[in-house]
Order: sequence, then structure tokens, then C-alpha cells
Amino acid sequence: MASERSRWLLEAGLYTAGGVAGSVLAGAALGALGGLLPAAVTDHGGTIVLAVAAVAVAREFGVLRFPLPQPRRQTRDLWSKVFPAPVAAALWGLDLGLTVTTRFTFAGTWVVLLTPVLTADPAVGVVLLLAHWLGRALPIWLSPLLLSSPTSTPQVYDAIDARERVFRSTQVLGLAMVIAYWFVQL
Amino acid sequence: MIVPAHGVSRPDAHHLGRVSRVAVLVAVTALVVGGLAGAVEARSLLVAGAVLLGWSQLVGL
Repeated sequence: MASERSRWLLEAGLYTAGGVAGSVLAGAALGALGGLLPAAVTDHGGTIVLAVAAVAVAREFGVLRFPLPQPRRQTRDLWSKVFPAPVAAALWGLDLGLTVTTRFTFAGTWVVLLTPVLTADPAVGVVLLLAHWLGRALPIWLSPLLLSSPTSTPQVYDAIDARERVFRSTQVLGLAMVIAYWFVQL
Repeated sequence: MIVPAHGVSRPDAHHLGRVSRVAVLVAVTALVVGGLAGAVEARSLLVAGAVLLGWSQLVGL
């Protein structure tokens, strides 16, 4: 039992650490990418982020309907068969922490990704993607309290569908906070 | 065992939904109380917003 717990802690820790690394890399790269944009764009970065956030809210409320531009890829279950579990956990974290390599659930991810680009600020990118990863990794740390067993039936898509409205509302609240920030700043 | 993209049954989804509601309640309460106390900096809104955006993605369980 104790060894199971240690193993879980190790894997959850490596998963989280992998995500931290991915988030730092992606956030810094996105901010640096923004440095390549013309000043005419980055000077209005906040306004553009605000507009994108408003469109994202409209999409999540169902006012606007359009397919979310996003990668079609999911992280690879295969890694658990190819690599030892701790390595696979770290790779999953890294992959999901990068954020740009796997599919999004909601439109707010675009706001997180565009903010460092449009502000051309790697530090903003690192902080935002780390905060995003913190929220994304939290369910793993809460899972011992939430899951009836470590081998609960693999029905995550049904589960998300069943409670999608709640999570969509949470997404809109997150977007509202971002919008409030930019209103204060502009 | 960490198993991305699967591993949650319907009853567990109920728990997750409940936790998400609690998270929203805590976030709103913290912002309202913090805002009234003048303790919330604008930057906190951006960071708290990003945390909620990540939380609600729900990929990784």
C-alpha cells in the first residue's frame, strides 16, 4: 500500500513537473514569437486579446458557432507501453503542458496562447501557461479524493459530456476574469 | 496510476462537477472579498482566469 502510494506520488509529481517544463518552454517561446510581430500589432495586443476573449465567450455561450481551430492530436496512451510508467507520466505532463500540441476542450485556450504572443512578453507567457497548467494538473492531485478506484471505467468523454455545462461555465468565468484584467489595463 | 484521457466513471464525473462548482464559488468569493478589501491586483485576475481556464479543460485525468 505504501509502495503504491509512493509510486503514485512519484508519477503524479513527474507528470506535474513535466507539465511545468512544457508550460515554461511554450510560454517563453510564444512570448519570443510575439517579438517578431510588427509593433503596430503588439501595440494593440491587449485590444486584440480582449476581442478574442469576447469571441471565445460568445462561442461558449453558443452565440457564435464555429469549429475551434486546434490540433487534432491527443497525448499518447502508447507511451505507457513503450516507457516505464514514471517516464510516461513525465512525457504526458510535458506534452499537455506545452498546450499547443494537443486538442483543446474550450476556446479559452486560444486566449492563454495569444496573450504572450500579442504582448510579445515571454514572462507573461511563462506565468500564464504555468497558471493554466496549475489548473490543468489540479484534478490529478484531487483524483484520490474523487475516483472510486484507480481503475474506474474509462468513460472520460461520457463524463465530460455529462457535466460539460459546469465546466463550460467555469471556462466562461475564467474568460471573464481575463476580460476584466484587460478592461482595467486598457 | 495516471491515465490521461480515461479513467473516470459517471459517478466520479458527478464528484468532478461538484468540485468544479466549489472552485467557481471559491474563485468568485475570493475575488469579491478581495476586491472589496482592495487586495486584488489586476494581474491576479489574469492569473486566476488562466487557472480556471486550465481547470475546466479537464484533460489529464
